[in-house]
Amino acid sequence: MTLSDDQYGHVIGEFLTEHEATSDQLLPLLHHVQAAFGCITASAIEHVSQILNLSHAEVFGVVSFYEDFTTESTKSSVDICVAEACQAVGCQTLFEDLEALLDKGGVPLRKVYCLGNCAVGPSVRVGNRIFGRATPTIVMNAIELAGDSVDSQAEKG
Amino acid sequence: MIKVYVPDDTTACSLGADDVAQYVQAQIEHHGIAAELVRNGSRGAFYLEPLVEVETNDERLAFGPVSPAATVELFQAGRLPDKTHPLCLGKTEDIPYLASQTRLTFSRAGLFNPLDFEAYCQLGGLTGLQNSLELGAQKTIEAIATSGLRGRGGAAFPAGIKWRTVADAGGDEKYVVCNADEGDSGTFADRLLMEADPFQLIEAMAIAGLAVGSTRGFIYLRSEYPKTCVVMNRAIDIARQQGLLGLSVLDSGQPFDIELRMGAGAYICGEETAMLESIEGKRGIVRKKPPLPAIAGLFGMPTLVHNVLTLAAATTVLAQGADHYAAHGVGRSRGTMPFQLAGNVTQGGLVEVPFGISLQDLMGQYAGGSHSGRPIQVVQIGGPLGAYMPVNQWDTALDYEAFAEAGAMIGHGGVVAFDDSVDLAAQAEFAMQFCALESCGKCTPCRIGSTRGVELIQGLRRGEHSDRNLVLLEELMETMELGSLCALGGLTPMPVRSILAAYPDVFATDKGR
Repeated sequence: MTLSDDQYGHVIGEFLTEHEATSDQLLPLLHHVQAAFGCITASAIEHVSQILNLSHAEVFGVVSFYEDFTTESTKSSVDICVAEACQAVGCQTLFEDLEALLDKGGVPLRKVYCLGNCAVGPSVRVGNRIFGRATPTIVMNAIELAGDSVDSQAEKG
Repeated sequence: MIKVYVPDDTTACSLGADDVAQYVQAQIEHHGIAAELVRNGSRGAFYLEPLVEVETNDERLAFGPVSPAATVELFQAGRLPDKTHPLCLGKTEDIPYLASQTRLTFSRAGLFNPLDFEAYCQLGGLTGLQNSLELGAQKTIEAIATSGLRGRGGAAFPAGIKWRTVADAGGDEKYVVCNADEGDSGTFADRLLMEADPFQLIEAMAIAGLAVGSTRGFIYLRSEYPKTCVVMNRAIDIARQQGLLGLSVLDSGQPFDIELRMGAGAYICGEETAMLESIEGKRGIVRKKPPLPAIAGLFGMPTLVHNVLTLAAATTVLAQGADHYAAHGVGRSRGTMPFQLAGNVTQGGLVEVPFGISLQDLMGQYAGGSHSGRPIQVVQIGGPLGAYMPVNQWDTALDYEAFAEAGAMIGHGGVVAFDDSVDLAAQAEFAMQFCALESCGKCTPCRIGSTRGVELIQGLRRGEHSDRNLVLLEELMETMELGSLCALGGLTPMPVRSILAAYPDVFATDKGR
């Protein structure tokens, strides 16, 4: 999908109604663009750099530094915490179990480091929901539910 | 009016609190009970979540952990559940886990709807700021110094000295920056505070801002905390409406306002100078010090940088007096510390107690043994850069100096327990791996050293040239400690060293002994 200049202009314009076009607004603006398009493409970087009076390289440097920003749109993933507190309660086994289950469904499984849910690990994030004391069953049910809500939204839309 | 509380907290919701709340509402309507559902913050006893509380005129009863199915059962008799129900834990304030703590910073957590400003004031909110306005800037800073408060983010730097330095620094504009980039595994106290008592942080930043002569504050929040972001932003809006923030803070004629900035998934941005770079819109690359941020920080201006818990503690100091705060603790570690029990424990959650308690007592009184049922062998305390401490070191008192002496650190107070199935050689390798993954890349000891560290430990685990490689690892760690620009490279050897000290044969056990 190629996005037009108009679409970028509109999304950036939206942001500028509430924020100033200063260079310190780069991260907030990139979050806004990432949320709107699911990624930050080369032309998005071009638009952002012009608006904030930065070089393409400066903006690309920031996009490439932070995990949250992607230059290509990716399928929404299932995020499993693999930091120490979750390691202590068997996230590795859960990871392997989920890998086997998800491989068939084509849902990407991503390792993340700490969701701040360390008292009740292992923790897994599906969409914007976090699950504590996660098991393969809990995660697979959550994926099914999330899939349903995406489908029903698509039908409505 | 009878109130039924169901926490709206990240961890409570990860265990089904949203569903429980829906069921509670439905049951109240179904049975026509005169009761109101309130979404409160969490008390921090996460092992009891979802914790449902029923408040009548004379008492507040706790039920937990409550599943959605159990919710229906709670209301089966067509009335509010009572003391006789099997899930009843008695009065919430009498639950031993909570009753035995010394809650200063977390005294309000879980008591009310965190966005109810009136309730915040009724529960003692704003007292600190009002006292500070009466005292004036100089005496406010003196109070912070007298209280003995030290940085809760990990470095334990005396807060009073920092406030004084920023106040005395010249500059057209000064900033207060709250570090809420709580990236250490095993820590969640910042998140809990912001989700349960967000006005306290705002009040604290206003106290700090007015004391050091700043008009603008930033909260740098990690993007892994979306719920916290929503709560905090709403609280900031409400604080503006209520005159706690704005052109004249509590009608004092002095302006102060706060903006929340989201991180973007970089652990290194919890390091103060990388965080400042990130707020300025740049890559989160560490700055060399000096100059200290207190002299030249955000946008080159004097900046007071504190962790959430340090700032929050300032409200207690001002509300209850510096002496009251300093009366808790031991030695140079004054006040209370919110410890966070995580990993393989049965009773995970937040435990705020005075400094000085032994690790043994903390674990014995609160952790409730391992979740897996096997014996706990070791805890890692202070996050990914903290030491692993086996049970025979648990007599160490939780005190900054005692921990430093033991080659460990309290850090942000996270305690992650591992049972006896832990592979400590793998944990040592992970410490280096994590550093390699999260290094900002600016300095060589951290950027290259961490990768070399992973390779060396992998070699040792395979039993390759063990004698020579152990010497090399030792030299590498020394280089990282002495040569890294910030604590990430400088402290990554700490977990590795602690494992080697406690288990000298750790790498020999795999193969090739």
